[in-house]
Parts: sequence; C-alpha cells; structure tokens
Amino acid sequence: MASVTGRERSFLDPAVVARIGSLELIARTIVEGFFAGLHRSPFKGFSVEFSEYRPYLPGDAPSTIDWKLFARSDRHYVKKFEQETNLECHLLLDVSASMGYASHAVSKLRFGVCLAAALAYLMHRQRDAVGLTLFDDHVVDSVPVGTRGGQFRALLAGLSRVSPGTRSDVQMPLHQLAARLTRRGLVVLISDLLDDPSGIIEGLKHLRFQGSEVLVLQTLDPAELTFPFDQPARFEDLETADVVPVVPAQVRAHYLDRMRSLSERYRRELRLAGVDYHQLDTATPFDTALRAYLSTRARRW
Amino acid sequence: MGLSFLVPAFLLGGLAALVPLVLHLRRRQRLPRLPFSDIRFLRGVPLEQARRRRLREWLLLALRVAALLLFALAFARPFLNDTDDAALASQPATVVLIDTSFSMSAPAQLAPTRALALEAIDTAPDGHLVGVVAFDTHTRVLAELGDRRAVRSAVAAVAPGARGTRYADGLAAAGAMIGARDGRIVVVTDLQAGGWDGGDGLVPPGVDVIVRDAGRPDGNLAIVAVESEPTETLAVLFRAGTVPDETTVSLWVDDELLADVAVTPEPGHTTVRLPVPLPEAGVAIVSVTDGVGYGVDDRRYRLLDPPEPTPVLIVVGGGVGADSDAARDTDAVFYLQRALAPGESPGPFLPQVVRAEAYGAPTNIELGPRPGAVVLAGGRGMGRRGRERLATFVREGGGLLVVGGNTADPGGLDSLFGGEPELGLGAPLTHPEPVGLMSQDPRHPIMRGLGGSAAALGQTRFSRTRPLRAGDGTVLARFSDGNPALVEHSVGAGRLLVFGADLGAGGSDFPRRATFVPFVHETLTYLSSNDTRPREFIVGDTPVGTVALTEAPGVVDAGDGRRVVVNVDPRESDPTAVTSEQFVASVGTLSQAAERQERDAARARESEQRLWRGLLMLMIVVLVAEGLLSRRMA
Repeated sequence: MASVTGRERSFLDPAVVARIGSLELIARTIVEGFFAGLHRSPFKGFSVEFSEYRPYLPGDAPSTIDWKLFARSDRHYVKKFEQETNLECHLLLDVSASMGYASHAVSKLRFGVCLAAALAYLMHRQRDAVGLTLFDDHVVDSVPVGTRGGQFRALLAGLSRVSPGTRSDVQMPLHQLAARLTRRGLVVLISDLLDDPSGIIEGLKHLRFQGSEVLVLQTLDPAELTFPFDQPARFEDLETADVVPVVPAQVRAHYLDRMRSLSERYRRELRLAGVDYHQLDTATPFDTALRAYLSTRARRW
Repeated sequence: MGLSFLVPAFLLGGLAALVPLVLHLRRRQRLPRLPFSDIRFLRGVPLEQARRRRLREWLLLALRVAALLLFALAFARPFLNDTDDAALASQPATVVLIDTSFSMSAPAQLAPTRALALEAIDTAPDGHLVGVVAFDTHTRVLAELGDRRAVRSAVAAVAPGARGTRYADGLAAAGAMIGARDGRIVVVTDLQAGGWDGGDGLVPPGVDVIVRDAGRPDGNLAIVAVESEPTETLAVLFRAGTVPDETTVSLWVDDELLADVAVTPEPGHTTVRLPVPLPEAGVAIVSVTDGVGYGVDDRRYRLLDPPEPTPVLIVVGGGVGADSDAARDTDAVFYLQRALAPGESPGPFLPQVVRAEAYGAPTNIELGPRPGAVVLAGGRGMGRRGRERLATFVREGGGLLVVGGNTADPGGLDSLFGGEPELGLGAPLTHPEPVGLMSQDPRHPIMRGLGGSAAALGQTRFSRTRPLRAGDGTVLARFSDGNPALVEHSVGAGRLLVFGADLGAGGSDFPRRATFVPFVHETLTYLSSNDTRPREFIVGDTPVGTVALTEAPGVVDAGDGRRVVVNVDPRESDPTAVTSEQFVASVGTLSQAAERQERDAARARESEQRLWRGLLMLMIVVLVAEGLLSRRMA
C-alpha cells in the first residue's frame, strides 16, 4: 500500500484543505498531494500524462510506440495509458440540509464538495468524461457529462454554488440517472445516506442494472459516528426541524448501535449488489476516498 | 399525636424546596438546542429506559426537596402534642372562680355562694369542660377541668377563710386553667371593691368573664389598728354600712380584760380611747362586738414584748494582745462594743466578739444565732473557710462592715469576694496634719439617720487612714484630703461597707466623739436592715420559713423561739362593692402573658423531645441518598 508522508498528508487533511479558497486549487492540491505520496502506488498506470511503458507487442498500433524512447534505447516501448479511456463518470453530490452538519471545521457538504472537485480534477486529468449532479429532494443543479476544455471549470462552477438544501431524497436522482444513462459508466455517489436505506439501495441497484459501476462514498461527521455529547440538549433535525430532548448518556449506546446497523446494512447489501461502498468521516484525509475511486476504476477498466 | 412547632416562622424556609423544583422545571425547558443531522436514531430510545430515567430524576428531585423541607422542619423545632391534650385544648371550658376571702364570711353568704357555684357548673354550655378554682390572696384549684358531675363535689369544700381578696390572682389562675381554649370564667364573689387593689384582672383572649353576686352584709365593724399611748390605748374602729347604734370595744392582755368601752361607731374610722396603757409585755387584743358583719376582723392582736436585739458579730484579727497592731484592734473592738451596748439595759444590738481564726474554724461553736450584721475589725488569721463563710453570708443578704484597722489584710480582703468588688484597701497612711470626715451623700439612709450629727463628722481627726478604691461602689463619706472614707458595694443580695480607718482611739479621736455612737448605730442598722424580722403579719402574707403559716388571726410561734401576731387585712373589712358591669370592665385581655405561658410550655416540651435532632439525622441520610443517586445518574 502506498505511504503518505506527513507533509503530503497535510495537503490531504480536510481541515487544511478547507481553508483554501479556490476550489480548483483545492482539487489540484488534493490530487497532486495524493500522487506525490504514491511512489510505489499500484495506481500509477492511471496517469494520463505519463506513467509506464511496456514492450511493444505484435498487434499494438505502431502509433503507440514512443519513438523518442526508441531513439534513446533502441527498443520499442508503448505508453500504456496514453490514450483516452472514453469513461463516463457521473458525480452525484448530496446537498441536503443534513450534509450541512459540522461538529468541527469541515462540514459534510464542504468535505463532499472538496472531494467531488478532487475527483473531477483526477477524472479530467485522465480525460474521462465527467458530469455532476447536485441534489437534495430534487436535482438542484447538474453539469452534463463532457470532455471539452471548459468542462472542469464548469464542474467547479457548479460545485462553488453549493449550499445546504432541504430534505434529502437520495434514490430519486439515482433512478433519474439510471433512466438517462445510455452507456456504461462510473457513478460516484457522495452522500451521508441518512435517508431511507431501502430506497437508496434500490436506486443503486438500478444503476448497477444499467451496467454502471457504482462507488458510494458515505460521508459522515465524526460526531455522527461517535456521538461524543455529554450534556442533555434538545437535538434539532437539520432537515425536518423536529426537536427531541436527549440525555446523551442514555441514548448513546442505542444511537451507536443503530448507526452500526445502518452501516452494516449498506456494506452487506451493496456488496451483494456489486457496489463499492466506503464510509468516510470528515476528519479523514482525502486520500482514502481517492484510493477508493482508483481502486474501483482499476478493477473495472 | 399532634405536631406543633416552637419557631414556626422557620417553616417559611421550606419555600426553599421550591428552588430545586423550579430549577428542575426550568432546566427541562431550557435545554440548549443542538442542531443535528438526523434525529431518527435518537428517538428510538427504549421507553422503559426513559421512564426509569424520569423516575430517577423525580426521585432525585424529591430527595432534594425532602432535604430542604427537613432542614426547615428541624429549625422550626417541632414537637408532638399529646392527642388527649390537643383534643382537650380544643374543647371549650368553664371555670367557676369562687371568692373565699373573709369578706365572704358573713353569716348569710356561704349558702348563696355554694348555690351560685353549683348553678354555674350546671348551666355551663354543652361541650364545656368545667373546673373550680377558689381564690382570696392565694388561689387553689378545687377541681381540674373535667366532667361537670365530677366537679360538683368540690363546691362542698368551699369555705371562706381569713385572707383578703385579690381578683387579679384568681382570674389569672382561672385563665391559666382555660389556657388557649375558648371559654368563660364565672366569678362567684361579693364584688368587694378593695379586691382590685392587687392589680388588674387579665384573662386570655377568647375568655368571657361572668359575675355572680353572692351578696354582702348590711354593715360591718372592725378593729383595724391598735396604738399605745403613755396613759391610754387607742383603737381605730371601722364601720361600714348599717350596724347597731352602740357597740362595745374591749382591751384584753394575756386573756385579762383591762378595759371595756361603749362606743357609738361613726361611718368610716373612729378612734376609741381605752383608759389604760398597754403593758410592756404580753399580747394585747382589742375586740369589738359585731352582730352583723364579718367575725374575723372583730379582734386585733398586738404583741407587746420588747423587740429582740439584733446580733452583731465583731470579727477581730488574730493574736489579740500579741502585738501593737492587734492591741489597737482590740481597742477598736472595745469602743464598738460600748457603742452597741452602751448601758445595762439591752439595746437594739447584741454584740458578740469572735476571733478571725474561730470564725473560720470547721465548727462554729462560738458563734451564736445568725447575726444581723458582721463587723470585720481585723481579718488577719481568717482562713479560707472563714472567708468563704463571710462571703456567703453577705451574698445571701447579710451586711458586712470592713474596718480598715491595723490587722486588716488587704490581700485577704480582696480575695474575699473573688475580686468582685475589689476593695483596694491600701497600706496605712499617716497624716502629720489630721484629716476630718465629710458626708458625701446626705440622702443615704446612714447619713440621713445621723441627721444633724452628720455635719459634726467633720470635727473628727484622723491621723492614720487607709486608702480605698471606690471602683463601682458608692462613696458615702470622704476624708478631708479627698480620699474615700466610707464606700458601699453591693454583693449578691447583701451590703458591704468599707471604712478606711481604724475605729479605735489610736489613729483618731472618732470613738470619743459624740457622733461615733450614732454613726455605728446607723451603719449597723442599715447593714442589718435585710435581716430585720417583723413581728406582725397579715393572714396570707405570712412569709414561709420565717413564721409558720397560719390561716387564722392570732398569736403564733415563729419557729425560732419568738412569737408573732397575725391579723387580718384591714382593707378587707370594707364590704363596699362594685357593680357587675364595673367588675367585668376591669378585666382586660392577657394576650401577651398567655402567649408567653403557652410558649414556655411548648419550649419545655420541645426541649424534652428534641425531634430536631432526628430530623437533621434524617436530612443527612436523605442527602447521602441524593448524592449516591445523582452520582449513579451522572
């Protein structure tokens, strides 16, 4: 596995990255920082600029031969991934109100935006066709899939307009997207998945049925995973504004148990559905998410 | 058992129990709002656990409230009332108050008195407890509050005595019997106006006073005073109302009739002259024939025996005659003895000389009867026992004259009363130019008794004195050099006089002056005045311990070898009455005294039970439980 040094890790730390104003710079910082740490990475072949040569084999197109290298080494080598993959990537980012929750400097939404930007940048570097859909209980904004020069900037523009929306309905965009897809592609869902799990799983299965690879990055706040509260309070639902008085000491075990059950359900059922599922918390460095993406992509293409 | 409180105001402290209650409720309402992504999983807490939590919270609250309430309860000093007492206390009462003074002793008064008392018992309102109290100058409970049939028999024991009337005492006793109840006092009396001389009548609030007039005689004759003149005897005859035109006044001495005079009594007081003087010894009785009025005031007793001389103990310093100082003290004693017993015939004082060592001896065989006063002419040689005896004598009301003589022991004298007062008797001062004695307080009984002789004190010449420290005492006389000469201190119930010079002829010419004897007499009269033993008493006023109690006029043995006479109160001989309305109008409400009495009883009961200790212990237990529970909940 790749190791990431401390300096490089700082560029992947959400708390550090979130302080950077430009979304493009964020994306570059994350991706470059990520790749700077992958000296022995198994994903190095995915670089579209230059990553690896292999000896020329019969059947390879002569145009793929690196003649400059031939001139220096008198051997025929082929750039393995120089050509476009022609992959369609769909980034689905949940912008519902619950994504606005933050127990520290980085909200789930900000984390998701940064992550989406980084993935978009990485996909763009690989010349993959990238599209973006922002949704809560309806599609808030979308950038169609494309590879044109301004696509990345269009994606960043869409992401920069993000603000917490209303209630979430995750299965709705999944079904809409599944109905719209005409070719196989990669769908990356960034959401806290705090919605009806049955509906979400159904939507993801729908995508899988359409032949798309699906990567689910469940983004949660550390407080949602550990419930560190100790003082009684009235907990207010960010989406419904419902209030419930809670004595944390009394509900902690029950809450964590329910959260574990939910995660376990997603993990179990999505694995059966062939969906890659990764749970991230907003204090986790971005490399985990990027590693998940690259792992998924490497497995399929 | 009923619960009452000694200091119920502290129960207001129980309002502090509202504090945790309010805090609890406010805290419930003022929980901070905390935004959270999804509260679905917070709602699913098992109901049972939440209920248990709520139950614990309420239990915790109850414990805190209980601790505060117990604290307030403990400070309110609770005590338990007997149920029976409480029940009785709530039951109204009627007290029949029967006058048994001798103004009720006329022939036709006893039967109506008993009849009125029985009627008052029988007509007491339903539900009333009934009690019977007799009064004159004293009160006697004849029947405690109870069933009316049980108290009727007490009326049969009612009989008038020879005492006077004091309504105030009777009403107070009846009011005390009623206590905090509602009720009424039925007074069966002759309504004698003089009965109010003892003070105003006060009854507890809520008590009505009803008067039943037992009637009075048409008239009365009484001998109210007997005086001796050199050639005759004067008797003061009192007449009230209608009496026979002529009566007889007689003089008897030791059962021998000396004179017999027919008198036409005038209304009010009449002086009757009996043509014989009173002899110098025996008991004289002056009587009047009275067929209509009270019987006990028809005779007046007079003790003719000469008064007993007052014993005066002269304590002289040790080693009499052994040295010059002691010899000078002996000189002072000589003059004192001569001043106190100047002639062959017995004077008003009976001096007795005792050495200081003997006074402090374990057995005081040499000491006679209790002295009226003690003169400490010299304290040297008096041991601790003697000093304690002397101090006790003074504190119990005796009189002591400390003479700053030659053997006076300043240190011993200062320790006599433990330094309070500090006599400050200093070393002798020799005056080349003799100093005189000047009265400082002419109104003091000693100086007032000296009369014109007080001015002559200035002619005395003292060549040797002792400085005195007045301290908190009163300077009665000073030497002409300004130093205190005679200082008075109060010690307990007794009197202490310190004279700053010798009373012998060695240091002054005072004993040879004409003012010496009056000075000594007035001083010792003043000092022994607490010990003056009266020889004539009024029925009912007879002091216990001095004279045997008697309920009838006559001659009685005082118990110490003396005989005294006891007469009736002359004021009681006047049957003049007030009206029932005037009587009732004279009765006030005794709210403060009743409350005080009730408070005292409550305090005694609370002190006996001390429930507050148990409450505080319980509060500690509650606090411990609260601590454990809150810790568990945390």
